[in-house]
Amino acid sequence: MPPVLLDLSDVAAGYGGRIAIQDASLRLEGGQLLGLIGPNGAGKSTLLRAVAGLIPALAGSVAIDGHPILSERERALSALGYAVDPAELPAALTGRQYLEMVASVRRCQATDWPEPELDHVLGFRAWLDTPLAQCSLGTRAKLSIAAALLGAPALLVLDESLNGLDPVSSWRLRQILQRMVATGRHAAILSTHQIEMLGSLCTDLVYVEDGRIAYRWNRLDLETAGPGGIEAMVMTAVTGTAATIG
Amino acid sequence: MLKPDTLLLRLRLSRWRRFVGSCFGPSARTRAGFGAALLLVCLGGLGSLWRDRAGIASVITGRPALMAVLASATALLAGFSAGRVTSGTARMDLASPWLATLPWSARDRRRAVALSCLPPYGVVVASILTAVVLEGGLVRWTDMERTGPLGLGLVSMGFVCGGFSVPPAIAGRRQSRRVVRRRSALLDGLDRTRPRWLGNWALGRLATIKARLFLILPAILCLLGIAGSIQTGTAWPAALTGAVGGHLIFLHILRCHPLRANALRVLPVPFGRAAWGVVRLPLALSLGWFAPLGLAAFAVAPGDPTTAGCLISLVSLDGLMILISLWLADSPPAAMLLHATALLMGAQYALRLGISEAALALVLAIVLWRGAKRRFVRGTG
Repeated sequence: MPPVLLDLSDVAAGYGGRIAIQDASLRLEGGQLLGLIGPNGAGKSTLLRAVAGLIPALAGSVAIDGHPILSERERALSALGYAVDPAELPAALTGRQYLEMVASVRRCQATDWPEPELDHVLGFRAWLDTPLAQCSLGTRAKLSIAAALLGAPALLVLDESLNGLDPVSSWRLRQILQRMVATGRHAAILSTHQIEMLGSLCTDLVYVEDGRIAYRWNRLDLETAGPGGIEAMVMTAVTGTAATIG
Repeated sequence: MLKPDTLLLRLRLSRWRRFVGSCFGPSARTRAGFGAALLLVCLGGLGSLWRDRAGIASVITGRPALMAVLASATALLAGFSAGRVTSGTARMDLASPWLATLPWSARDRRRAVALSCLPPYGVVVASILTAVVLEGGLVRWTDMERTGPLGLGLVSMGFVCGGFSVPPAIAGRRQSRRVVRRRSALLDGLDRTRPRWLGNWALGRLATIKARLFLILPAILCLLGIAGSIQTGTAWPAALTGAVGGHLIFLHILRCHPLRANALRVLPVPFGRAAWGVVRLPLALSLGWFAPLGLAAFAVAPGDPTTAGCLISLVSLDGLMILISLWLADSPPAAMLLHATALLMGAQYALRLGISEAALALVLAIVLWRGAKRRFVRGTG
């Protein structure tokens, strides 16, 4: 029986009294890679921030690897690798310092990635000693993901983190995610607008709309649709008509 | 296209709304309430201070000229700081990409910079600082009738000088976030324990500048303090220089903004450890500054309790500033203002510290700590 790495139960979250997502229930086991899609402002990032404890859940409960984020924060976060927005990285530190800071908190080496020499694989080794303020958006995104992967946490959360990556790095990272999840010890949530990339990657798919989880597709649905048919499946469900191009 | 004046007006209104929002917005109601309560207590304390002015003046009798210089310097420095903060903020706004790319003439830009020295936020900050300085007692300790207007003039003069002291290049550099750092072996060595590099992160560009400042200018003052103790054969010149200098260094370099950053908040680090990571570097520099002076004072007068008293005062003052800065982590000027207010209040109570005052201080400390922790863990409070 794979471990339950994320358990969301009727979660509501928002900012300044305004609820951005509500009645969100999700259960993620080891070996699952969940794709999170939906229009801009639908509440995807708010949901993921509530998962990471960055904003409090106004209702419901969040547990990571069996530990409630509210009452057992440090234990829950030990099992979570959250790639923060590249703009939120500490501009004054170099990439190496940032990785060393994260590694010191996670009690591992600054190169303790699930993939050997990740800095070389993703192509940010040359920028490790440059202040983050001077790095490009893509390099900062890679460093943010690399920090999230340090110590190989059980649950990975990537909130549109692949958007700024070059095609080769994006492909390599997806390969790494697939290998990690395939072990059955890890799970991941990937929020993105690029549905076509989810086809061969995700085991589950969720569509968020107007602050609620509107549609869900499981492994069987995705396998039935096939990698090339997922976009049509989603568009058919969301727009109510069969999606055709041309 | 909008004229520069209209654009500036909108910019100022936007900042004013932001300031009002930060004071009275739903997320900051607790802060505003606490600030109002503290202000009331402070006003009560200042009233007592005024009533006891004769007693307080007797503590410092024999040094009227020194107090006049101290009062004037404080007023000037308060105005200068307010002006510099105000102007720096305004210039950063003016150097923002969306404004910088507009086709303004050089004349329009110069006028905009001059006008931007007096935004509503600056007026509020300057008014509060003026009130604190003038009502706080330093100026009154000398001669209220003659030095009151002088103090106001000094604050105003400092404000204008501070406003024009920010070179446009600095504002532009801040805005572009081009942080060019030279590594300081001294600071890096102090910042290697778990969690690593929080001090460097907190200090940012200050890490280099302050390291130089810490080594050169204070070294001269250090020697003067030690020389004073040797010449007079007493501990107080060196010990007092150590305590005051150490605390000023601490005030200048303490930054707690990483505690509000998501990059730190998503890590499995307890609040206490994160807070320690942020304050350990400034604290080490503060105590490191006191150490040689304290040792010199002890060597000159081993039995004099002044040295121990100054060390305790330094630790207490640094501790107070830590609590306030953790609570107001995203606003160092506001933290410093609250610290100055608390000190003025404390100066009054220090003359007759009792159980009730100590209990009040303890309650305040707990409230500040819990509030800071709540904001770190939950992002609200």
